[in-house]
Amino acid sequence: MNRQEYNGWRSLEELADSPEFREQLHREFSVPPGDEGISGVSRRDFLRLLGGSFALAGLAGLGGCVRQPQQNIVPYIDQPERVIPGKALYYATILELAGFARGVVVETHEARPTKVEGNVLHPASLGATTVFEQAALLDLYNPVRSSAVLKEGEADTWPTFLGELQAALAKLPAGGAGLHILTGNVTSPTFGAQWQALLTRYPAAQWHQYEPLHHDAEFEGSNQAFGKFLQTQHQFDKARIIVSLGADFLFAMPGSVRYARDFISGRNIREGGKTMSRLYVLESAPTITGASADDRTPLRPSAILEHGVALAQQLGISVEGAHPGEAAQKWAATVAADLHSANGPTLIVAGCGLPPELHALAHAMNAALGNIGSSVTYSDPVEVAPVNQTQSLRDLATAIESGNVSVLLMLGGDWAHTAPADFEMDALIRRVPLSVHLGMYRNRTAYAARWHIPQAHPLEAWSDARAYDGTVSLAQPLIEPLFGGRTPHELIDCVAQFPGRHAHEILRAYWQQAGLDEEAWRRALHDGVIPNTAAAMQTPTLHPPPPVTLQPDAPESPELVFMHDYGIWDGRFSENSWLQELPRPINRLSWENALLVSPATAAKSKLATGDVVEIKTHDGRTLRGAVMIQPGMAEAVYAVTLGGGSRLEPGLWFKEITPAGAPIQRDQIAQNVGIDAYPVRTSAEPWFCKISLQRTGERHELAHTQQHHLVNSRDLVRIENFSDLSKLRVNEEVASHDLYNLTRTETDGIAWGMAIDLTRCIGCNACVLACQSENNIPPVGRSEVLKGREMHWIRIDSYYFGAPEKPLIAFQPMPCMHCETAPCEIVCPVAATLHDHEGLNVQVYNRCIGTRYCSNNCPYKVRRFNFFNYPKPEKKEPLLLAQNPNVTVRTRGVMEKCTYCVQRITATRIRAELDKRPIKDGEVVPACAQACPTEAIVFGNLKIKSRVAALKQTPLNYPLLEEANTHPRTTYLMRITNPKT
Amino acid sequence: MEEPPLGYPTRLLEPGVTYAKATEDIASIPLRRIRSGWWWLAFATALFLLSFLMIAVSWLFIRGVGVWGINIPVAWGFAIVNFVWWIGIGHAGTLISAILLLLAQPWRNSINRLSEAMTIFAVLCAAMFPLLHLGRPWVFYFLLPYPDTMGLWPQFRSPLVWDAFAVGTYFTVSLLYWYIGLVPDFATLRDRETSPGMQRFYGIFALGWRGSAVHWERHQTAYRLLAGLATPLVLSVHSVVSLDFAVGLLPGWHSTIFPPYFVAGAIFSGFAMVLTLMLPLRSIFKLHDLITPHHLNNMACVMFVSGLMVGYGYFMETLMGLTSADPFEYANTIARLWGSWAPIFWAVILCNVLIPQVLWSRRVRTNEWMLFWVSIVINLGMWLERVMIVVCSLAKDFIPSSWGSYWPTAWDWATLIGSGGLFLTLFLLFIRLAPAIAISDVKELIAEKHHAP
Repeated sequence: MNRQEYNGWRSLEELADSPEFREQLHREFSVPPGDEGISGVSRRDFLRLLGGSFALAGLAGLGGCVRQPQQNIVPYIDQPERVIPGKALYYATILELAGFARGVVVETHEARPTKVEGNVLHPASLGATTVFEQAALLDLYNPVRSSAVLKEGEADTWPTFLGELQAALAKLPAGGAGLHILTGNVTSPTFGAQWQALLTRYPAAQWHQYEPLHHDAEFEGSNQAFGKFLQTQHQFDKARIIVSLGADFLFAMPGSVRYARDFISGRNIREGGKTMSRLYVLESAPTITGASADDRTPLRPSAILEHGVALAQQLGISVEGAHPGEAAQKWAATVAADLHSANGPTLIVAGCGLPPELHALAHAMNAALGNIGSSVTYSDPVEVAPVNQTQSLRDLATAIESGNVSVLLMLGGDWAHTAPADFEMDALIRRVPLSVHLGMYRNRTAYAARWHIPQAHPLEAWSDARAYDGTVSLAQPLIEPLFGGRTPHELIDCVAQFPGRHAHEILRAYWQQAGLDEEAWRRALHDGVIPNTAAAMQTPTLHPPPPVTLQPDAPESPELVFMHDYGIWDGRFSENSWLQELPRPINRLSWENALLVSPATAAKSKLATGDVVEIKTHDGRTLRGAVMIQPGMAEAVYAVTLGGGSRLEPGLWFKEITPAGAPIQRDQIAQNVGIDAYPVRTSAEPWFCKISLQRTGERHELAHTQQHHLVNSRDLVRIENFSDLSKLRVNEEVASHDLYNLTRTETDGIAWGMAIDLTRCIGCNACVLACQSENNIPPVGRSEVLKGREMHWIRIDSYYFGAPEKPLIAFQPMPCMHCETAPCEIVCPVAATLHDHEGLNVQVYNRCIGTRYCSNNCPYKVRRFNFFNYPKPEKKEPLLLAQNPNVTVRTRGVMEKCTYCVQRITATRIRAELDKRPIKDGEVVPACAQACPTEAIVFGNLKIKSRVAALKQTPLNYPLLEEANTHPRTTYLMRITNPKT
Repeated sequence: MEEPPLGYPTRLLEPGVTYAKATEDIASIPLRRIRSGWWWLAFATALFLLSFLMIAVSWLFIRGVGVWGINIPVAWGFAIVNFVWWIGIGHAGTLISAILLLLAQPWRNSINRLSEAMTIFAVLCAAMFPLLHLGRPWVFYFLLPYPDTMGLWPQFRSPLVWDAFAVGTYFTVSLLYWYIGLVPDFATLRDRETSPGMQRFYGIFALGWRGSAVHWERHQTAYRLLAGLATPLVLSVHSVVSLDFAVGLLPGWHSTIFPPYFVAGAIFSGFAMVLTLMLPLRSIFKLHDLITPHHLNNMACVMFVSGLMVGYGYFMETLMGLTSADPFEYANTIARLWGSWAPIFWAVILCNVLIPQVLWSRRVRTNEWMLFWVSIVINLGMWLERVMIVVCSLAKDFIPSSWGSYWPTAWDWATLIGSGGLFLTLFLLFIRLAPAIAISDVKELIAEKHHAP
């Protein structure tokens, strides 16, 4: 069979095209008749058994005599190719975050996508994902998705829209002045070509781009350093010393999934690595990058610039007009000495929330340290049309104000809400004669615009996009648009030519022209990447750094810092209940954000967690929200993530009417979910601004899933210094004292176990959502989270060590420990939780009567209970399609918990048994381990020479709560930090 | 003031109590159908409270146990607290009637019936909670050993299975014991009843009792046998209930002192509840002749001594927690002493240890009002003690990240109040329909007095 013949592939083995798989394929068709077939039963035996079972069936029929309900089984008239009920098919495609592609492989069951995994071949994924890719499924099946064309908030039709669009376009002056398009980041080559085609017809048309979390500072910094916009690419695996100046490179950069893997491979201690990189982080509010740091300093944004300048000066770069303070000098001297003594490349990276000057300095420092070409490389920007986005949006605002915009197409965002507050975009959009919004949700822009067109979900759409390194991938649809959505390609095509083509046609035509023949096209769809499309590296010439004016630090005047959100990014995922409910790393807030403030600042202002304050910016904009005390915050800084709060005025979403005239009442997911920070975010100060603060006297109860972050000297998270690593020994004493045979399953040589590496865990939450998606875990809502009833089978605990001003932040993922001597099992009165022969602690849902005794007796508290009928199938019609058919949907009143993805184990076992071979190491990968960008979770058979068995032999390994005599199968590898000694 | 004489046996009955007077005094309560308005008022109140239970339980069955305040980690809340509390209350009855019968303590004769009834109703209230608290109450029978087609049995290592057996046995034996004792009295009522309907009613329950010597002989054999059966149950039931906790790993649960400490607590709260119920009845029905200061004193003494044992339990638990070198146990103890649970812990100490110290004084022990007040305090204290054990230990166990808190909802309170309503309803029906004091046993006392040398 030729693999190139089709686009999909059925399994990871097939993708990898291993010799075993080829052999299996071969054997499938080569078993001679009459010989022992797959099952090992001869034909004669088979017929004998068949006869016997018929006889038994007859007896049972006589005895039971139950009339079965009549149902029709309808066969396919045209059997779809390769669709076998019960067998999953996998397709490679991409999902974008702010325009940048991340390769995914989507599992489909009977043509419905049920699970998203990373694509091993894609450079931005390497098989891993973030929470956003995992949660894409929920957006696809979201019942509150926009499903109808709206004209001024009332249901209308696509042809009517096309008519109006054509009429408006016809009225445009020659050259098409007045035609404006607004998008977010665009990396799609096809879209770029479409725009060029449109320009030939309407040369005066204008394209504006704006992302709320834009990279203007990076581009402007590159402009200052090199005289042009360049994309910086970092090789974190090569750097011995990394200095992050406010950059959350483990999460918030286009290449973050890859960066996380690279960063950790520079710190690969567990598999015998002899070196470990060191990470210095300066940041205002704790990020997951800061939590992974070996040396983290919380600073106000202005002080980060000051420290950056000091470091540059220490590295011999002259910075005009800047005289950093003593603290900065001291820090810079230490770090500079460390950088100089590093035996290899180092790396300085600046965050998008800091001024362009700091980015220019970072380039200069990397050049001074000789990093360019090794740990730092440059290419042309990956975006089709890189611009300063704030300026781009300002141009649009000015154009609308001067009445020069007659047609405005807004593709895919919510600019009425997320644009800088001083632009007053909501009002401006309403002034455009023909404004069109294409979006998946009826957000504020949808109602501000004259027309709203439902957008196809990325999993329903043909498209293409480039990864952070420029590699192009094709996006192929997994399912027909559920709500009849359109893609940006199709909408833009309607402008260039009437009536517009299907996205597939547009894409195929572009790539035909770009030299992708049929075979290469199919190959590209199959692999999920188009080979050799990464952006070319270049060596730009460096200009001297710009002068920097340092503001004198004024610690008495508090600052507000805007951050990305670890669940809903910039608010674009605010209608996604998985992401809303996801406990955010470190503070574990769920369903809302808060004004984070350091303990000392809170004490000074007499604030407690839950106090509602009113913030006033210097230009008079106000914001109300609850305060949360967060150790590790910089002094006098209040941090808030973007995207919280309700997106619509109450009642607005009731206006949608069906074509038949009946009003549709739909819930909005994002209601009462924290603070909306956009109203105080201006174009002049998009990342931080000076504020004054007033207590309102009100209180607000914050929903979070962890109330205590101190270990209270309990031996939960073990932390060791890299320099002390050689002193660690395997604890032989404990091993020899044990009277039990630890691994008590002997039957078939399988004992499943897991090791979780706390050095590698960056707390990104990908495992939590992967587990939620794989195991049909229902979101429960804010009120239930407040009661402590979240359902996640794996949680990521966070702990603080050391002083609250400058704590070490440690993560600890906590799935079920699958204890050998499980305390839950002996207390269950009905034997609903018990051990299987491979050592899994399994839960039998239909035996469970819900005494909850098992949860009480679980020292790790990893069991989750269905206090209500959370899946509520009758209310969530399209959501049912997202469910994994191989995992039981639990009903009210039963206990549930991590199963080590028993359905995956079983599927692998069946495959291995068919092949008559033992299960190989690495063949079973639980959802959490598969999604993990840093391979922190390793799973396997402890009875063979497996990776996990080897890890458990290292001195890093330790069981949690050993003294409770639980003998957990899940163990931890110590967190190793590498601070300068 | 001169102390009232308490000497045995004369003061078990006030002077002048004859067979006829005893029968008349006691039997007249059900026979005259309690014409006074207070019974109807009390009954209406009880029904009102019972309606809380009906509504709360209906809503519980419709929606699920999520209507309560329980969560992860505090997966057991009021339901288990109430269960342990009620089952504790249900201890005094059997103790009074069975153990004191075997120990030949005739002072029990005038209070045994009331306390037995209280036992039955308290155990009923208690037994309701484990079923209500199930996530899927409709499959409660999985707890029972029955021949399942799949060959499934209960998991016999689980204390909850032991609970099902212990409580089931206790209830069955208590019910039988109570009924055997009632048979002669039902016959008395049958004979004195005037309305044919009620005659038939009592007649059915009297099982054809004619008072012959053979009847008495068999009655006494059965009664004593059942007393023998019931006696070990007094110790076993609450020991088994305590194992629900002691078998668990949790700091605050995992403790060997639990069985005796729970039994002492059960007797303590049981006697408190008997006093709470008996003292009002005694004054309403003017039963001072039958329930004398001697009885009050004896009950107060038992209550006091068991209370001291409970106090010893608290002391030992705290001492062990502080000295065990187990960091989890230690943290739990500290949380009780000074931490977030301190208000509950010190309220328990106040109610169950400090206030009962007034019982050193015989004047208090024989004073209706003082005794009533102390008994109410002890009932409250024992309920709080169960909150402390169940909720506080669960909320903060091993891993701080999973620590939680617990706030009861309106449905939690409605169920608790409603269970009180159920108890009161049953109790009021009982004193309305059956003799609240064992007529035959009191007559036995009179006979002993008459034939005393």
